[in-house]
Formats: sequence, structure tokens, C-alpha cells
Amino acid sequence: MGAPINYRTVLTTCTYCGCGCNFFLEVLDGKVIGTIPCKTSPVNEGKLCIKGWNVHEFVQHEKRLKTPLLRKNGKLEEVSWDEALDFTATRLRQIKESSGPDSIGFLTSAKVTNEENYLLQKFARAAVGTNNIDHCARL
Amino acid sequence: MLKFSGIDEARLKASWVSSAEAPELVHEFTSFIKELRELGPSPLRADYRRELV
Amino acid sequence: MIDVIRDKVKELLDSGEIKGFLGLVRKNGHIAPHLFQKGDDLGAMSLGDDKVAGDARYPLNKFLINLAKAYPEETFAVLVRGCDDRGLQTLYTWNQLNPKKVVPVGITCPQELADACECLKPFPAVITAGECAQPGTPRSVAAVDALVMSERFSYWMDEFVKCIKCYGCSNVCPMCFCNECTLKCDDLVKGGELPPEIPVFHHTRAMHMVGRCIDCGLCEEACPSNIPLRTLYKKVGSIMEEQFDFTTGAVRGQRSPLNKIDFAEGRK
Ligand code: SF4
Ligand code: SF4
Ligand code: SF4
Repeated sequence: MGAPINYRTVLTTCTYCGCGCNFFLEVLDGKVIGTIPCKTSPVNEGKLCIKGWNVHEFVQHEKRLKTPLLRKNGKLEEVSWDEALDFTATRLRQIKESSGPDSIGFLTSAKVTNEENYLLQKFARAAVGTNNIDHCARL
Repeated sequence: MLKFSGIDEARLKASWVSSAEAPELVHEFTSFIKELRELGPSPLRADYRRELV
Repeated sequence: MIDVIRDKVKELLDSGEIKGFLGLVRKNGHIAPHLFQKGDDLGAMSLGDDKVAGDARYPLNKFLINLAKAYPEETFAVLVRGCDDRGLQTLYTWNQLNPKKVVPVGITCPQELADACECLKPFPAVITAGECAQPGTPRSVAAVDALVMSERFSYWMDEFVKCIKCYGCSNVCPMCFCNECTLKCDDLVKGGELPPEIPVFHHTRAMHMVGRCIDCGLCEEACPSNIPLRTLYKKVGSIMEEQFDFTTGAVRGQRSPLNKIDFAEGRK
């Protein structure tokens, strides 16, 4: 008998919206190969929507963004986080000074944690000075 | 299955017509169209879904 | 019952007869599909009964196909109830699994589950543990048959219109294994349209389950809109029984009468 097969089902929560459906990701040899809704979850009771059912497809998708992209001369280029953050901070400051804080808006995401969403609204209101903040789950 | 779903089975017809029997095919079409006309409009008309939603 | 299963699995693993046992485990407060391998702790094993019997069943055969594809040389044991066993028999005839590489570990279902499932055979062919319950009494199909045509029509249309096209019914189905699915073909089922075209969407799936549906009920359990899918497929099954005297997966090695063209062509 050779080495054991690396097959696991990993309980996790859907990242697509705020409902918080639970499912198992089927993992074979380090690759996520399937999604199966958790029957014993009180939230979704073994059901999912079409997005949840296909979660396993984006996790390791080759087109998934892994580094920030910055448009240079009309073309998106991979850059470091430092460069991306410097650029964004500089532009935000410039825009705020020239057109006022309400010329800036923030969109946040259901795919990040509550705490991260809280941080972004704090940043919008306290650091930038605008109430222009919204969330993808309301769109 | 149509009957089970409350749809008149007369609305579906399957016939075996060889590719060499064109007149037969025409006959099948015209007679079936006539039968369908007699049955009246389908309950699955285009706007049935809008009404349900 | 579970102790007998544990002993059996331990024996199979220790003897080296199988590479792993695909079953269920209780972990993190939930019941999860799990592959037990040699030396693993079998203490947390579950048979898929959480609050009531059989409420945490999973399409284990579906996962088994994935494992068998990746490890075609290995033999796996799998936890089967009556329906799963019918599924195995059918998957063999469709060449999705190799019977020489599968060791079923059979359990019976209690009477309450057999009644709830209206199950014709609530136990597998080879039983490792448990007592056979009586077949459940069919009710759901007869209830629809009792309606007049116009009532049937509105009954089904009111159900189908709730469909959110999540594809859960086919994703969860242990007998849905086609690489290309008609229901996912853009030319046949328009993308971004809700509900999908009814009743065509649901009838298409019902037609495709002819000779395949083993009446496990997982689709209906997975349907977020509570559409009585199982009743629809039960009807398909009963037509097959009346017309062809065929019950999917009931007889080992028996192919669907609609799949017999292979014989005529001289293929295996
Ligand atoms: S369909 Fe039959 S074998 Fe399957 S869970 Fe229900 S009672 Fe058990
Ligand atoms: S599981 Fe239910 S809602 Fe989802 S596609 Fe199937 S019938 Fe429609
Ligand atoms: S009952 Fe549903 S999930 Fe089970 S085999 Fe039939 S169609 Fe598939």
C-alpha cells in the first residue's frame, strides 16, 4: 500500500454574499475539485445558489488576480503592492484637493470580512471625508 | 409526462417518416397543424410566465 | 449498527483489500463526506443520520467517481443504502465505475425513512448491518394523478416557476455524470433568464433521468425552491416500470432498455 491519498472535504463559508451558506470543498491532491452544500448547516440546509455551487471554479482559476494591476500608457501591468498603494494614495489626495472629498466614492465587497468593510467606511468617512460608500450586496 | 403535467398529449406528435417520403411528411405536417388549430392556443403561450411571476 | 460498520471497515482497511472507505464523519459539529484510510480513527464515523434518519446523506457515489478517475488502480469501499446500491449498479452499466474496484458496505434504512422516501427497496443487495424495512407506500405520484388536467397544469407550473436555475438538482445528483449537459448548453437554455423556460427545463431533466434516476431524493433535498422534483422523477420511473418492466439499478448488470442499442451494434 502506497502513501495515503490526499482527499479531504473542507467545511467553509461562501464568499459570494452576506448570507453565509456553508459548504464543503472537495480537495483532491491539493486541488479544489468540487463544492457540496452542507446539509447540517442551519443557514442553507444543504442548498446553494448557482454562485455557491461553482465556488470551487474560481478559487484556483488561472485568471484569478494575484498581484495589483496598474494601467500604464493604456495597458494593465502587474506592479508591486507598494507601487499600487503609493499611486492610489497620491491620486486620492490630488483628487480630494482639486475636486473635494465628495468627488470620491468607495465600493466595498461582500467577499471580505465585516471588519474590513468597517475599516473601509472608516477610511472613507474619517480619512477622506465623504459618505460616498456602498457595498456590492446592495447593487 | 405531458399528461402528468396537465398538458394535452395530443399537442405532441412523433411520426416515423423516411427521407424518401416527402409527400408523407407534408401530410403529417398539414394534418397535425390542423389538429393543433382545433385544440386552440397552447396554455404555454408566450406570456404565461410573466403572468405567473 | 455503526459498530458493525466500523469493524467491517477496519477489517477491510487492515487487510489491505481497499485503499480507503468513502463514508461520512462527524466533525466541526457537522456531518461531512470523508475518506477513511488505513490507521485513521473511525470513532467519529457517521451514517448520515443527524436529527432524523438519513437527513445528512450525501452523493457518495459521485465523489467515488472522482476518486476512481484519479486512482483507477485502487479499490475503494463506499457506504451504500438501497438507493446508493441501485446507483452503483447503474453506474457500472454506464461504465462510470468498475465493479472490480468497488466494495459496497451496505446499511439498511429504518421504516420512517423508507416511508418518507416512498422507497421501493430501502436496503442494498448485500447488507453489512441493519434490518430490512418494508417498502414505503407510493403516494406522491398518485396524488398528482388524482388531479384533473387543469389542476395538474397549474400545480406544476406554480412549482416550476419558483426555479432559480441553481442547477443544484443536477450538481448533487449521483447519476448526473455527462461531460456536456443539455441544460447548460447556451443554445438550448438561455443564459440569464429566470425562471428558465418552464416546463421545458424540468421536463428535459426528467427525460434525461430515464433509466438513470435511482430515486435517492437528493435533488429535491437540494432544491432551494422546494420543487417536488422527486415526484416528477418517480413518475418517469413508474412509466419505465409499466412500459418496460425496468427499475433502474434493481437488477445487477441490467441495462436501461433505452440504452440497449449498444447490443444491436455489437459493442459490449
Ligand atoms: S431512497 Fe430508500 S434506500 Fe435511499 S435513503 Fe430513502 S429509504 Fe433509504
Ligand atoms: S434545484 Fe430547484 S431551483 Fe435549482 S435548478 Fe433545480 S429545480 Fe431549479
Ligand atoms: S432522485 Fe434526484 S438526485 Fe437522486 S438519482 Fe434521481 S434525479 Fe438524481
